[in-house]
Amino acid sequence: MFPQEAKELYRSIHAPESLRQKIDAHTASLKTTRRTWTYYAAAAACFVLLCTAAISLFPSPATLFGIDGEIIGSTPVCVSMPVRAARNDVMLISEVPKELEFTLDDADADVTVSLGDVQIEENGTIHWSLPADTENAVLTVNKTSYLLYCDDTGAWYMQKQ
Amino acid sequence: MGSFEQNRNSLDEIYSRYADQLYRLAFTQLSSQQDAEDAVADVFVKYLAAPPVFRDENHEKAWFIRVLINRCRDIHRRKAVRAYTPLDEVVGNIAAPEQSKQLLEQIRTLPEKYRTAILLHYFEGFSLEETASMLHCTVSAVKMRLLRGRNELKKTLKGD
Repeated sequence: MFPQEAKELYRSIHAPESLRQKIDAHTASLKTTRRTWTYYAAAAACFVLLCTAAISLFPSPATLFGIDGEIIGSTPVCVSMPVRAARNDVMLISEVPKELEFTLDDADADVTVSLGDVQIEENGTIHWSLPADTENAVLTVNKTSYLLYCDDTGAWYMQKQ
Repeated sequence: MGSFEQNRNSLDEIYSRYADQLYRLAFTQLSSQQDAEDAVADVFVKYLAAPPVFRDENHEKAWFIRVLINRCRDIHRRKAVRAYTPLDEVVGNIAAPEQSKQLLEQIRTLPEKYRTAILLHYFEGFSLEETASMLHCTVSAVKMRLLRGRNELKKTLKGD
């Protein structure tokens, strides 16, 4: 039923040159699309890296002592410090403290310091003045102690003991 | 999977191996030369975008033909139909009896299932098992399609 001549006629059909051109055009556009998405991905990765680096320059937000206060790097620095919610976190104080100001939710809290002077206001705000050459000091609030210290880079921290 | 450039470099080799076979298969499946070119181009682009790992040459050949058949089916389902291209416009410059031309033209009008089975088995030379594998059916199903396709052709050619 299918003579050899019919098969040869069928096999005489060859792919035209336009087919190869069509494939080349498609693959060129596919390559461009991939290159474009590669650039986008690289740009996005650079952006993320830059953001991460930028964020790392800022002091850590203060979950210190379990509060919503935050050290903002200026003097006097202000920290809200509800005694009841204190946690063993470390607070970064970006400026050398000359005076630390704390706000306690317990105005009758027993506050002592190992160095410098402390003044307590009626609203529970504590002003802690420190000598200029302070290297470390301890603040005690109702028998809970917090060590104030600086590291080799000159950054100041307050850590619950 | 090789890099895109590696696949691109092997396109020449793959193209020279399969382009003619895929094109004539696509042309006899579809009505127009443009559709046939589109179908074959899509197969090669699909290969370049994500080439499978082939066990051997037969596996590779079967993959190309299966993808082409599926692509031809997709094009058939399109509502827009391109202009019919007569066989004379694509066949090579060989002397062939008019009957052979008529036969091929009639094959192009067969239902897709019969047409594909006939082309793969009788014209491309694949065995019944290979044809069944490419069409995702049993050997019995291929035999049935070949039988029905031949009967259709006999009816049509006798009626001319």
